[in-house]
Amino acid sequence: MSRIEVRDVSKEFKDTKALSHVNLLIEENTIYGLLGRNGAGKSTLLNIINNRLFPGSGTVLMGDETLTENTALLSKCFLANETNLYPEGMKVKDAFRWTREFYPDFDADYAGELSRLFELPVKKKIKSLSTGYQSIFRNITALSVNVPFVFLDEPVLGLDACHRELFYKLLIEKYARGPFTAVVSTHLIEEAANIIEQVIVIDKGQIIRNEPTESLLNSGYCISGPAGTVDAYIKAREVIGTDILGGLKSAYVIGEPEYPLPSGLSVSKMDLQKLFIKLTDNLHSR
Amino acid sequence: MKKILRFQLKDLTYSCVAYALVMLLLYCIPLVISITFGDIDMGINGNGLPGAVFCLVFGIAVYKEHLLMAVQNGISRRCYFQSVLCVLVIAGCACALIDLLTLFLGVRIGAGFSGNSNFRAIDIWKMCYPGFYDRAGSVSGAAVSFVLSAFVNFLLFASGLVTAGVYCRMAKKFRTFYCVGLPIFMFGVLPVIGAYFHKEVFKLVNGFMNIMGFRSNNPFLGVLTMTVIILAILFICYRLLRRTEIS
Repeated sequence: MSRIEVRDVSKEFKDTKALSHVNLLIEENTIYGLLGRNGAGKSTLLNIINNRLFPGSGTVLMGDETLTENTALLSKCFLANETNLYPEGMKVKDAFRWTREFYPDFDADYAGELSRLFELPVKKKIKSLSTGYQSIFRNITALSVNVPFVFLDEPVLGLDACHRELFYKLLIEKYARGPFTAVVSTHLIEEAANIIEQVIVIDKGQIIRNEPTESLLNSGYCISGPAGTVDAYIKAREVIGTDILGGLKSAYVIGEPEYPLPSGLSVSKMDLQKLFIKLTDNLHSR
Repeated sequence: MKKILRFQLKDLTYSCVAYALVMLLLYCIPLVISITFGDIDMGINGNGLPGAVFCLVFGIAVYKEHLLMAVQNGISRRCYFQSVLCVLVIAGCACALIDLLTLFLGVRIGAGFSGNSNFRAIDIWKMCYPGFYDRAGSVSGAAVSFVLSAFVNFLLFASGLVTAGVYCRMAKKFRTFYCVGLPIFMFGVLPVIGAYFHKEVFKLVNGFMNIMGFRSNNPFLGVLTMTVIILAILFICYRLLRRTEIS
């Protein structure tokens, strides 16, 4: 079993501390959701894992070996992100062909099939594709590359709703056929919530949550009702945030609800996006 | 390393074919004019070391693009550098070979029509090492000319790499200044400084001529000096490359 271990990694850009003593384990055959606000350090983390940036301190390991500058281990990883590193004049079909040279397990037939599904013009140059189609090209490459660790940084950037849905469906299908590790960094949490098995929340360069989606969602609940009743209920409880709408109030409470509830209050499951907003909002408002 | 080398060689093949075709065209134009118009005395002039220029441009042009492709496909910078070294040797030798072929072609063409031909890299080396070429036979002369041309090509290729390497390492805000400033400095400021400090430059040139073996008519000393310079440039290039970040 190989896994990626990010050990005490920090990274600074001039005055900005992008990552601060990040420790993280990325296990095999799991779909991770890397969630964070703008500038939280998601892309920096993915770039460091994939040998594009160097950590200021700390190491990235695969098994017991350093992943940084290790071609043999890097060939087990693939990062698809917004930056196009393919040559300016390269056509989509040529990019697929060359990816196959670098990654022998690249499934060219599958890439062709996905290109037809997404109606990706393979004879066009990559740089001449629209933002959405550039994302599609990257996603198709990532899904066809067949490596144990695939990193998708904002995979649905510029994609319309139909293509986003199709992408999530294909990702799940691919995962079901032959499990692999996918780390999906996204802002569209609600859409990706159903496919994420493990949630990593990063904020201000630090990992603030790293746990299975189910346990994260079960770690709290949402209680709603008249503001006064909710206030009384949450007095002695750990609350991560509240929403007020007119006389109604919703509070996000850590722990399990105790029954019977005071009259007028109702309990609902916490949703990932709300939880994420509350978690990161709390840190920012401190 | 083989994977990225294959990718680099593909670009090198296209570029070398284009280069060879341009060289061939340069031969054909005066030949056609001479044959068509018998009263025009056409000569093929001004070659020298076009392969060196090709290598410089190729080194600058492909460094970043190939590095990005390598990083995208999980190739370490170290492997990429090893591949670049192979490309440097192959490109340098290929261009020296094309120069050598043009030498024979030039002699043939020169004999074939009334015009004269000095389309020969060997003439440069004859100027630098006259004593050696007087003693050497035509085959050994051509062989030494090939080696010297190849080393000049390696040197210029390495210079191209280091030029592009500095560009990739520097902050984006300085890049325009670097692109504009470097040629101005090399071909504008440096000659002016040279003219101002002509005594010091004279001493430098004297020293350079000694270590290149021009005075002792020893081309092998020149090869040795170029090897040291190339290794020094490549060392700088690797130092720049191994911490180059892509984002």
